[in-house]
Amino acid sequence: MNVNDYITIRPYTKSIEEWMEDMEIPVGERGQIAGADVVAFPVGYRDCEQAFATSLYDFLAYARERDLFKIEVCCPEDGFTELELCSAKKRLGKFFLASTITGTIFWGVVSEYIYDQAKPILPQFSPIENVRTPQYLEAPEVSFSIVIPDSLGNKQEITYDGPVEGIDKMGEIIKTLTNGNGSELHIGEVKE
Amino acid sequence: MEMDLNYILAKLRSDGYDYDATLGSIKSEKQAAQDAGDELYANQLWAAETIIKIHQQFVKTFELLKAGRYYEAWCEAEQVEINIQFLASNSQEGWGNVKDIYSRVRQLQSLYPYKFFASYVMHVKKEKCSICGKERSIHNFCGHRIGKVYNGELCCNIVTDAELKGIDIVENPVHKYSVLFPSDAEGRHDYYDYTLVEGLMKYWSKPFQFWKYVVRKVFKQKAEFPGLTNESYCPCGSGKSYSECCALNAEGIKHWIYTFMVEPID
Repeated sequence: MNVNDYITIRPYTKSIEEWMEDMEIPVGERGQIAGADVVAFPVGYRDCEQAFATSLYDFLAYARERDLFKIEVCCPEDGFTELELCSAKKRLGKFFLASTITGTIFWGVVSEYIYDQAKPILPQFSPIENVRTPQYLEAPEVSFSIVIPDSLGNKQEITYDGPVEGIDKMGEIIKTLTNGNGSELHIGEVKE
Repeated sequence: MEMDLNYILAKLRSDGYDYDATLGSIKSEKQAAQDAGDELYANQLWAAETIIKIHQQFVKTFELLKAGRYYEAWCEAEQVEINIQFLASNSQEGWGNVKDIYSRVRQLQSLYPYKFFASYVMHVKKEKCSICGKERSIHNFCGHRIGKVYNGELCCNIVTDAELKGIDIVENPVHKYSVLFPSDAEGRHDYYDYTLVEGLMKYWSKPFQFWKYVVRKVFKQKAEFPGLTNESYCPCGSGKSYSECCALNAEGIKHWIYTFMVEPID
C-alpha cells in the first residue's frame, strides 16, 4: 500500500465568510461559527449541494464529548441534512481549521474517532493466497478533508480517501504544516 | 439475584440449544433491570442477549446453507456480522465470545460468487434518536450516540424524512443483502455459481465446527477441456474469450484448487 496515493493537497481559497453567505446563515448566527476553532462544511452531491457527510453528526457528538476545541457546523439550525452514500466507507466530511494551533489537537480527535469506529470490524479478513479478496471484505475505508492555514497564512486542503490503516500519514502532514514547514509538502500535491 | 450469564454463555454451542427460551428469560431480566434503573446490569444483559442472537443466527445460517438456500444464508450471515459489530463497539468481553464466529462468517462470504450490489443514495432531511425520540439537531445533542447502548437498548437513527437520489452499483455496499439478481415477470432468478459454497457444505457438518480453506493455483492443458475453441469463454473464469486469455499463456489454463480443512467431530 502506498499511503501517498490516498492523500491529495491543494490550495484552498474559499473563506468562512463566503461559505456562510452560500449557506444562508442568519447574520445573528455568523459570529458563533466564525469564532469556532473548527467548522464543518457540507460535502454536497448532485442537486444536494448543502448536504453534509453521513458520519458528521456522530463525529460532532464524539468531538463535543471530548471538549478540546469549539466545533461548529456551517449550517442554519433547521437546514442540516445528510447524504447517505452507497459504499461502506466512513465519510466524515470537510473541516475548516481556524488556526494551525488547533491542527494537532483536532487531528488527535479525528484519528481517535476513526480507530474507535474501525475497531469493531478489526481484525480484518486475512487474504487467501492466490485469490482476489472481494472488495466487501477489504480493509475498512474512510474519507475526510481538512482545510488548514499554513505558517504563511495560505490555506491548504488536505484530503484523505483510503484505508483506515493509512491515516497516520495525515497526522504527519498536519504536524509539518503546523510546525511551519508547509513548503516541504510534496505528497499527492494537486497544482491548480 | 442476578442471572449467571457466564453459565449461559458457556452452553450456547451445545447441540439443540434452546436459544428462544434463554432470550425470553434475558428479556424479562433486562426489563426488570431497566425498570430498576440499573443501567450497568441492563447493558450486560444487552450484551448477553446479543451474543445469544449471534449464535442463533449463525446456526440458522448454517441450516440455510445445508438446505441449499444460499442467498438467504448470505443475508442471515450479514445479520451475524452486523450484530457482532454492535457488540464489539459496546463490549470488549462480549466480542471475545464471538470472535471466531466473525472470522467464520468472513471466510464464508469470501466463497460466495457475489460481486456487485445495488446501493442507494439517500438525502436524509430529518431523523430522530431511538432512545429518547428527540429529533437530531446539530446544536442540541440529545446525548445518545448511534451504535452505543443505553440502559440495555441500542441507539439507532430513525429517519423520518428522506428522499431517494439514486441507486448505484457498488462492490463494497453498506447493505450486503442488496445482491443483484436478474428478474422478469416470473420473479427473481438466481444464476450464480455456488460451487465453492457447495464444496464447503460437503464437509462442514456442525455449525460450530472449525474449518478453513487454502487455494492452490495450477495450470491445465487445453486437451482437458473438450469442445474448447478460441471463441469460447476462457475456462479460468476471467470472462474473456479463450484466445484473448489463457491461450496466450505458455503454462496453460489457470485453474484454482480449493482445499477445505475441517475439524474432526467425535
